[in-house]
Amino acid sequence: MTEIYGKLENEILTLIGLSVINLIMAALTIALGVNIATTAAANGIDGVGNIVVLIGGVLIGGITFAIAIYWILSVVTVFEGVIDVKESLEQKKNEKTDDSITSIIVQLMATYREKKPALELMNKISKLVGILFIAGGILQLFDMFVVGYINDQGQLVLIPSIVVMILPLAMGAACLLLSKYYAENAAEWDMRLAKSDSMADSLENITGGGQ
Amino acid sequence: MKGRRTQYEIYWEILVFCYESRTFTKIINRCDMNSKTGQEYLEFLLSKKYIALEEDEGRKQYSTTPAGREYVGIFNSLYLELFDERPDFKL
Repeated sequence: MTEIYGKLENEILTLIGLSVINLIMAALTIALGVNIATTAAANGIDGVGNIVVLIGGVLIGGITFAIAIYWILSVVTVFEGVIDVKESLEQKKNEKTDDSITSIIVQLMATYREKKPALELMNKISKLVGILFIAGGILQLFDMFVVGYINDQGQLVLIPSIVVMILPLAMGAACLLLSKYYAENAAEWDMRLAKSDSMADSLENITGGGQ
Repeated sequence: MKGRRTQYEIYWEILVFCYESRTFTKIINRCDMNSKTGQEYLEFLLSKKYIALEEDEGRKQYSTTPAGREYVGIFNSLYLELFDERPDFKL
């Protein structure tokens, strides 16, 4: 009983952790999206860099910003459901009877069924943002190493910060890893839901059919 | 309880709540249902003799029968299996 309770606690904390990491990534995505767009626009105004990088940067930054907003909204949807389950778990912490633990399992299953579309959206956005960040990072690398910032005297006048260039690539990789981690957990949950559906058949036999 | 529950989960929830005698209003509030849906579920459980209807000083109350507790026991063992068999995962 204690083992199952411990597993439930781990899974709920995992879902909370996943939500928090997604929230942090979404917030950083907003910031970096704005940064990419404004950097590209500022360079364009100063006459630095070429038109492809300018338009690409503004476009990628703007799209990233909009997607991040959707990301935050889907994370909040998932988060509130999981927090409800955590509160129930805390309330029933000292009971540890079959009924109290089953109550948490039922609530967790119901929450997952309800929030599954939001979780899938979170996963898709994480993947998409990962790809966009990597694209943004590659554009900035292209800008630096191929186009360069060379003035009329042939001098390198502006070298973008290595961190600013590397950051989108790192963020992209992190988003793709997050998506991969979610997919592994989602597979577990889908198996549980499938099994609960087959349990419904057993329960139907016991009750002689539902409503 | 919020979230999308199956009908068997809702039966379970009602039956557990009715270990002590409960009025119709308390049941639908606790189980987060509207009165029409609540009535349908309670009629089904009454037909299967999983709950019994008692009247005390004009107040109707529902309570879980031994057959209902048996259903709860079977449900518990099935659902506990879900977390017993699968390996847990964590960040």
